[in-house]
Amino acid sequence: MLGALWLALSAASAHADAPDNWKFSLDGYYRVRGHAFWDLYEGQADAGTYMTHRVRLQPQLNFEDRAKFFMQVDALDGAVFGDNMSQASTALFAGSPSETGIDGVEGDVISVPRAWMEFKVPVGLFRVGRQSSQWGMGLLANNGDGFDDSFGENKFGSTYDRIIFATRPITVATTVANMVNPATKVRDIPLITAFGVDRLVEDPLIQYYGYTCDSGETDDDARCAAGDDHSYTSDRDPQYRPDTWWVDTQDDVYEMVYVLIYRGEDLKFGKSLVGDLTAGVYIVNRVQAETDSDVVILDAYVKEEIANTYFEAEVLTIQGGTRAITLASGNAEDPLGKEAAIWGYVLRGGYQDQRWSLLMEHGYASGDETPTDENFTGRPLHPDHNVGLLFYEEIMSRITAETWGDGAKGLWSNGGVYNSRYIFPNVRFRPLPNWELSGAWMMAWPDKPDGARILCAEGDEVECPVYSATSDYLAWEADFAIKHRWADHVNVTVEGGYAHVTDRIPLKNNGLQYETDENGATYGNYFTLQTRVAYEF
Amino acid sequence: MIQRMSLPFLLLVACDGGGTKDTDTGGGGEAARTFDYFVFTNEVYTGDSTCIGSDMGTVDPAKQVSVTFNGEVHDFQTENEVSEATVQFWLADDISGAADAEHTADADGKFSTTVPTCTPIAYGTFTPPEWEETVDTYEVHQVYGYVETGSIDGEWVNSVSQSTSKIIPSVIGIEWDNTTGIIAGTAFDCTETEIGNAQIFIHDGNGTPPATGEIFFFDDNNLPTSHDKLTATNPENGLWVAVNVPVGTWQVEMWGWSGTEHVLLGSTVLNILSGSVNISNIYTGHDDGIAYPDSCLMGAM
Repeated sequence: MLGALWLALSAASAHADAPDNWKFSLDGYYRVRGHAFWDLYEGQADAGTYMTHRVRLQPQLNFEDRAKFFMQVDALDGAVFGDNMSQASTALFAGSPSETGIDGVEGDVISVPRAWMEFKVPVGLFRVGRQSSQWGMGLLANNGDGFDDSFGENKFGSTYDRIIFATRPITVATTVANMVNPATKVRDIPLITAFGVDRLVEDPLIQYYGYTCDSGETDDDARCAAGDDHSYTSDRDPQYRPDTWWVDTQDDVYEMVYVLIYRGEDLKFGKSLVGDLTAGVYIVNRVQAETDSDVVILDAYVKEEIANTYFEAEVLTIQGGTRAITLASGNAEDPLGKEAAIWGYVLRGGYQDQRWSLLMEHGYASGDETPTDENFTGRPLHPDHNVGLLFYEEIMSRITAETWGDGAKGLWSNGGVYNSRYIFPNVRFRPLPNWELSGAWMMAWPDKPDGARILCAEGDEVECPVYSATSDYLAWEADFAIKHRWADHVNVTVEGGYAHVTDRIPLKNNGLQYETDENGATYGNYFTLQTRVAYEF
Repeated sequence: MIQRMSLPFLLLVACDGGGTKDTDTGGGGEAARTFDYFVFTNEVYTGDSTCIGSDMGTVDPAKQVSVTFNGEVHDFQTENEVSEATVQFWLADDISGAADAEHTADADGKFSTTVPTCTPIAYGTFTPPEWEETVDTYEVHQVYGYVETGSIDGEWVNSVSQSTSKIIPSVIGIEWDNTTGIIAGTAFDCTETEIGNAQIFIHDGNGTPPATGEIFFFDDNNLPTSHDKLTATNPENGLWVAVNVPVGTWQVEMWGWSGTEHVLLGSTVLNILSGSVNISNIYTGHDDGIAYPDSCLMGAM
């Protein structure tokens, strides 16, 4: 979002010269991705393989660079190759493929996940509608667009119903000053501020009560009417919503968004060094009245590319109180009360030139050793911040889904960096135009073992009923990729990964293959080969 | 009579402090699994224990008759009907052999069978593994009271969903080895009121605890405590759960602190099968986990 805002604002001075007509452009891609996994899932004797589609169309209507309309249309998104709903009575004679996803559920043939408009006013730019959101390295807000990761694929993408206004206050001021006195030549500073509001929920289908009532027993809670029977929350059926369901503002969830970012390009450092510098902060205040939720998200980002050096970092924290999380606290008087104290960061830096990139990445996502106390400290990084192909993307994703179950999907990692810290040195080599070879190694350590998803070992700074693990680290993984662009538009990638997962991870009881060493410790070794062929418009 | 645990919403878990089994901070170290590992409270138990050692009444054979049982399979947590579940009954209260009766519930979870009144029996509920919907759920030592109408209508039998079976260990913070079993139950006093401050000890009948299996109690919000704030005992709700109990037959005992010593309040015997959840209550004054309703006893009207 902010990158696009920047580009739009950067073009502000050019719009007067734009032709007075409409322009239509089309971005997006059609992509096929193939997956093969060896020795990963329980009962898997041979390589498990599947391929998926995705069509992503991102048309744009542009009127004189002053007013634009954007849209995203997805088709066959995640549909697995073949007829997987038995549309043909005999599988051997199947001819018409279905739209079945890897989760076994029939998906939409076409969906419109985003549509928004953007228009300029004399002092800035408005963007209104269901739009993508991207900030920094994408640890918190990640638009999931394109093929921006060294390994893996974007699968989610942040989308918000948002109204946001962005301006360049110093540009406005200098423009006014130069108009008043053309001789002053006041120098502009590329500073952008933005202010927005997101409506996350108008009417939740989870009815919040904050107390329990049991019709079957004597209930001394004065808030319970006769016959009331509910937990702290309960599900509602949308068909029983009243006509005025949108009137209640107590249950609305919205957030205020504040952005301040400096983006300097071709800056001079000393006599000969030239480079770019970006730094900013993204602040979100998310509130819901009926659950007394008042949470502040602070996300700082910096990036420098000076000469052949490169450094990029993002640090985020989520702080505040809420009663909206149905993992009750330890306070008997206020069982739903939670205080969020979540941290995450990624640092990446190194050397890069036209042929080589030598980078070191280190990241962290805070965990929660006791998800059911009054402190809410764990949250994975955004699942589209991909680190490798196997450990976070497949194994931790599987472990969190299996151990939390369908009743707590909000606590699944979905492939994001989870309750751990990692290092991820990687090398990219571009021997020829349109060719890139990549290699990387990842190693991860636990943050706060919770005994269910990350097992405890003696010496951990947490108290566990069982200390069954012996390893200090969670896993290591080696990845490689070969990327080639053909005929300007065809993106071809072959990626592979090998992971060793230690006895810190409960492989045995969560549907993953494992081996046992001479000391009885379980571990797993896994391999994947994945390919992508995409036609980019 | 079926005493059902009442678990509001298992995700809603609270931890209210209390003692811990291992007071070391910084983790590490596992205590020897002896009686003292499981029973160590010095909080005096609540409830009526005057029935211990007394005559609990004699079952009237005339009340042991076969009746039609029009039952319903319901999810243990959500209380929703479980469609097309298989229900098996063991009329000799022993799940180690073949079931005496098997039925498939309809789309509303309903089924009919014949059961004896005033006789301990066992049942199990199942759905095909490929549905990934429920885990094998057993409830033994069930005694249905005498009815003159000749049928028991609308009685629920429990089925534990896979989601619930995962989330209990998950919020506690322990890995469930699904080659073992889970036991969940309520501790009752002589008046069949929930008993507080009781502790559970599991052994092989000769005092030897199983190699694995941890006991957790539920806090004031009727929810299992998390692993780093283990309550030493159950509070007034009587609720407890044992995770990773090995396959086999185990004596499950309920102990309390009288103020001067630990006393055995009651016990039951359970046969644990691999990957199963076993719902089992323990009654003060009973050593077999079987509590006959008053309607079954001699002299009952």
